[in-house]
Amino acid sequence: MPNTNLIPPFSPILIAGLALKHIPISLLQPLFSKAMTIMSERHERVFECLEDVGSPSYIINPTDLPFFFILETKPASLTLFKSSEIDTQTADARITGSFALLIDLLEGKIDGDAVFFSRDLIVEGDTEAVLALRNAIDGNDIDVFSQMFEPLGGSLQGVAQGVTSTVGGLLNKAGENMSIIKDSINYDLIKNMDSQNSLIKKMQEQLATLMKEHRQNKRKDKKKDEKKE
Amino acid sequence: MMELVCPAGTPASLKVAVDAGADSVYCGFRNETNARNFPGLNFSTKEMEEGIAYANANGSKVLVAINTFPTAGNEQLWRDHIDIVARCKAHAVILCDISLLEYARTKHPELRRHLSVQASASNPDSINWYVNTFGVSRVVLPRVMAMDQIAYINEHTTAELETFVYGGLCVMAEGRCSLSSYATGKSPNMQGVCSPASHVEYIEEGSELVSKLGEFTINRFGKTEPAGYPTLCKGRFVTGDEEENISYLFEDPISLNVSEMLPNFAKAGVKALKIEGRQRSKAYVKAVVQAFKQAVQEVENGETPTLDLTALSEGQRETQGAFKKGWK
Repeated sequence: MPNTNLIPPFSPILIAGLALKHIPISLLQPLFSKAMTIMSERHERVFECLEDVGSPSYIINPTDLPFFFILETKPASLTLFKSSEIDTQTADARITGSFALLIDLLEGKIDGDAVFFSRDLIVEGDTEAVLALRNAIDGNDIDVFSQMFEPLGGSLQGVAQGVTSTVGGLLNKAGENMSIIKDSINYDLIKNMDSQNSLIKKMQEQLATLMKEHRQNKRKDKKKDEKKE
Repeated sequence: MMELVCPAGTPASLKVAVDAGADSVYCGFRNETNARNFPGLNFSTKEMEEGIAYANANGSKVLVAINTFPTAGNEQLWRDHIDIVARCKAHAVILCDISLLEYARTKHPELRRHLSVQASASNPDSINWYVNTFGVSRVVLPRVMAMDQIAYINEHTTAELETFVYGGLCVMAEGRCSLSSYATGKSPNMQGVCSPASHVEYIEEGSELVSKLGEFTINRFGKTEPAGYPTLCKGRFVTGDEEENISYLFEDPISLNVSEMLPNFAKAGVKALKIEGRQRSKAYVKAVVQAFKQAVQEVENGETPTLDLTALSEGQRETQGAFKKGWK
């Protein structure tokens, strides 16, 4: 059965991801590699903490992008792979969620346990490795976008960050519009699900009553048998 | 005004807690001397020194938890860390083991001693024995007590009372729970870990999330069902002979939130309100500390606060637990 929790959220990033699908990974890899080099130099402490649990490797899988990452922590590296290759790659642990959620976690803006409780974050494999990474990252103040654009250098970095900030604002607005579109697309589906849910609830109640009766009858039969003996 | 005691698992969280208005911050060292000994968490000696300096400079106090029980032949590790706490000039050390309380009393009489919830002291005789024998100034009460019991204790002891008001909920008598030890060989009492991550496994089976601890399947969450921590006390069990009788037995995956009862805590004479969650992120610390800071102010103004922190809660549900006993 497919894991329906892996269906990406309908978001501007998903739309952007569909566009990125046509860009060769070899073009994106150098940007991520350079950002990783900067991060490992600037946040050495994160990687030192991970040595205590054997410097694990991680598959980081953003559900709304057409690629995933393998994060090696000694030496630090970040390698991109096409999403279609996910079952051919292995790591000590796998972390899955929307791209925005993963970035917010990396920057310490949201609580990892809370998004795990809500099932928006999926963790698999070596739980200790995941916990160590979460705690190590949370103990550091990481600014993902400044590190992503630092390889571009001085003035270009400023322009890129300005663009990021504007795009961030636009994405937020687009996100609001997306929820309206999403609700509209899902309207009939939600209506059908509501009626199915109430039907299921009724059936569950009926089943519970039947099971209760069955148990009571069983107990009665048992008592009768005991009396006979 | 009641003191707000806030958790910090990392130096970054300590800074966030202080900046958010924590009156006190509690934290521990990066080893088995404290009951939140998780990978990547806690403080080195240098980080503790810096954290205490930062808190002191910004009007907060640091309480250091050395709240596990020393293992035989390895006591020196715990004693050394009490020495470090005294040297760093922390406001207090939180202890549960009687040998360590005696060590702190004789070696560092100037260092305030708080009794950890791990000591599970839950009646005036027990508390007064700790006060009279080891000079304990404050007692952290177990999370299994009703409000009238807290008021009764306050009337019969000179110790300050500290109670948990939000976060993870231990339903057992703390310091005496062996469920984690039974499943993994490690417990919060000796190794500082309840359900250690090294023994936890999450498996996605179709749309279900299965959590396992050691050899035991703890829970199976449906597609839209909020998840909880993989602790035995919050697992689902089969009861009786019927296979279909699977339910929570000790407690549901749920967090404590008694914000609405804060005026009752004030009336009962509680001195300090504790937020659980040293294993949580700085985002959690910031949100919860800010919310409770405002709530304490509301109590001071004669109002009754109501905080909805469901999104941060285990299983995305909240309870008032034993504080508002609905059973006999």
